[in-house]
Amino acid sequence: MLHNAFLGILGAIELENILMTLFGVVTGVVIGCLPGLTSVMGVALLIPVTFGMDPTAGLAMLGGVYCASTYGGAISAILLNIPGTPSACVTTIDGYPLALKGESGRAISMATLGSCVGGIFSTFVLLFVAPPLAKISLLFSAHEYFLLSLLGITIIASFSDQSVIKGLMAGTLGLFMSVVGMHPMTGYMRFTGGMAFLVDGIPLVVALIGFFSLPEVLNMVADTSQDRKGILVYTGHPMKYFKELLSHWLLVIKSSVIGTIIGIIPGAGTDIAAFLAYNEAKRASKEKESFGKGAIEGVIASETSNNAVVGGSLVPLLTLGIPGNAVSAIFLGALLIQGLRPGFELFQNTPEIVYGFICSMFVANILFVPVGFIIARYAYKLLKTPVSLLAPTIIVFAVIGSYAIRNNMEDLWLMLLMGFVGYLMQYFSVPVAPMVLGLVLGAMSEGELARAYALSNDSVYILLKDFITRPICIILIVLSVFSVWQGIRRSLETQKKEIVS
Amino acid sequence: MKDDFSLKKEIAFFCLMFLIALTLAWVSFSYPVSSSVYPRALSVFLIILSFCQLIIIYFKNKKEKRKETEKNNENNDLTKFFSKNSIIIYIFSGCYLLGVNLFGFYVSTCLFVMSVSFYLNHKNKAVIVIWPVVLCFLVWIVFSWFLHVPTPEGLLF
Repeated sequence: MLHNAFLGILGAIELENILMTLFGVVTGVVIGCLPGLTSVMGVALLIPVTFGMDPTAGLAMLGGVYCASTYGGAISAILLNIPGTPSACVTTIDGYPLALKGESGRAISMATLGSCVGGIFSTFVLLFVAPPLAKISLLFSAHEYFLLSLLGITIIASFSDQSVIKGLMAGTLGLFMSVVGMHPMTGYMRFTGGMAFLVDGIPLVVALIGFFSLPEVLNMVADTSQDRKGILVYTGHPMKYFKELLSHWLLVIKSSVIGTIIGIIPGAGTDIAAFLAYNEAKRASKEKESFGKGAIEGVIASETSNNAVVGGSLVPLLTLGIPGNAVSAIFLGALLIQGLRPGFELFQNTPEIVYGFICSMFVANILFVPVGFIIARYAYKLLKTPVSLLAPTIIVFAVIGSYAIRNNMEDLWLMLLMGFVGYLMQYFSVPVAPMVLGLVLGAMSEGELARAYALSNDSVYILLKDFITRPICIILIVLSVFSVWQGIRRSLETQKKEIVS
Repeated sequence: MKDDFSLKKEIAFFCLMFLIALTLAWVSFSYPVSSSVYPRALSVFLIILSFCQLIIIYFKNKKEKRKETEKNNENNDLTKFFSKNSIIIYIFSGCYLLGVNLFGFYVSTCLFVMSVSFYLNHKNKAVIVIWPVVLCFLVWIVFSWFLHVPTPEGLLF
């Protein structure tokens, strides 16, 4: 494994890969910094750019966007009191009061350095936990893979804010969308409506771009009257606060651990990690009353943990092919496009790519420190970018991205349709993440079920018997039922609270 | 607290999902069994979930005490989501794709970015003209020249 890690380091420090990581980091910080643009949208829009690239360089660039956009949200959270990304919501609680006190430099430095440490910690976990965990996938056959895909969807659905039923519906619709096209075994055409461009199914990246970029643009233009006034200016020298961060070493370690664990659990995202780490920081603090009024511990906890989620969320993706969140679902799409399938074989057959990607995450986490400081200095200009220029520019990139996949004009219309579906889902408070996961895992789910059925001598009875007698299958079924039950319980509790209030 | 409007919205969502589920089931069951076991199962599951959603709506509605809600609640929700700007930008995007088919990518992009910026009342008129040209140039440099990613071609260009 050390040999592979060394291979990865060599790959990550190649000039092309460093430049691509740097490009990803700069793009990511800008995306994260601008309220309304998210990591998911950034990674989805940039996937087509990676087509012609070496797989390691392409993945390094996407990794850079993921790490840096997760961090970038802190800049607008601190200087503008508007979180650039959902994960930076918690950072506003103490970050903005600190900036009002004239300590924006201190807050941004702590957020940046904390994010860097959190990101590096979780990448270490990814590097050392993922390879042995990937060996578990060797124990899996068709039955287990089918149930694993269902588990992924049920877990993400159960984390839906509104209703677990809506989450499951979205997941099922996503699975349905993956059914479009040729049957994997018989070759029979399904749900294509006679349209030739749907023979290979709904292109994943086109759907992702539609789901995540258009709705955001439509939301953005819905209210253009929101002037971004009161942007504070970044002051101070960044590195002089490094010693102060070291004095909070226990908090940094705790937040990194919380973030990484939350990242590994599919469905729980950066925002949940930030809230948990913030609560823990508050609980452990001797000056609890300072939280909410500009406690630096609050900023450190939320930013360290949300960046620690990044590496964690890639653990289930690279080892079992189960994305931890929407961004890693897009990463799965990027891997599949490059002809790479997650699991033990990924680590066994293409170590230079997977380890190169992991090591480039270290590079990204280090690079966003200087990039973040530079961008923060000019953030007040960046944050004033008018929606009237930003909105059409995003649509132009969405068009380029959708076309680049297959050079097909029909894909552009499909992207437009998906954008409308995504927007409609927001209106009905239906989470998009389970649908995306359904679309990503659907092909695997149907293919593995067909294989499992064939292995069971085409007998439903034997198939069901296999499901309830194989130990790993039983564990996966229990986990699926448990996750749905937890989701229902949480929904009921939320409803009770709403009624009481 | 739920109001009449959100109740209507939930019912509309149920109707939409139920219709989609029925249509998918109808189409799935028209395919040969060997190729449609999976979509058939999914459509049945979707119908079951739709009914679960209906039951939830019913019980929620029964439990909740109806309160007088603010008069503008309904309007706010609708207008916020399906605002004039959102609809028009969506239509603009459709026209943009038609334009790409006809005039090619670069000409349509210039026209699209200009018209959207103009529609959204961008204050600096010079930027409305300059930005689309700069954007097209950047796209050409990055995608066509550097990355060799093809851009759509129309009938004319």
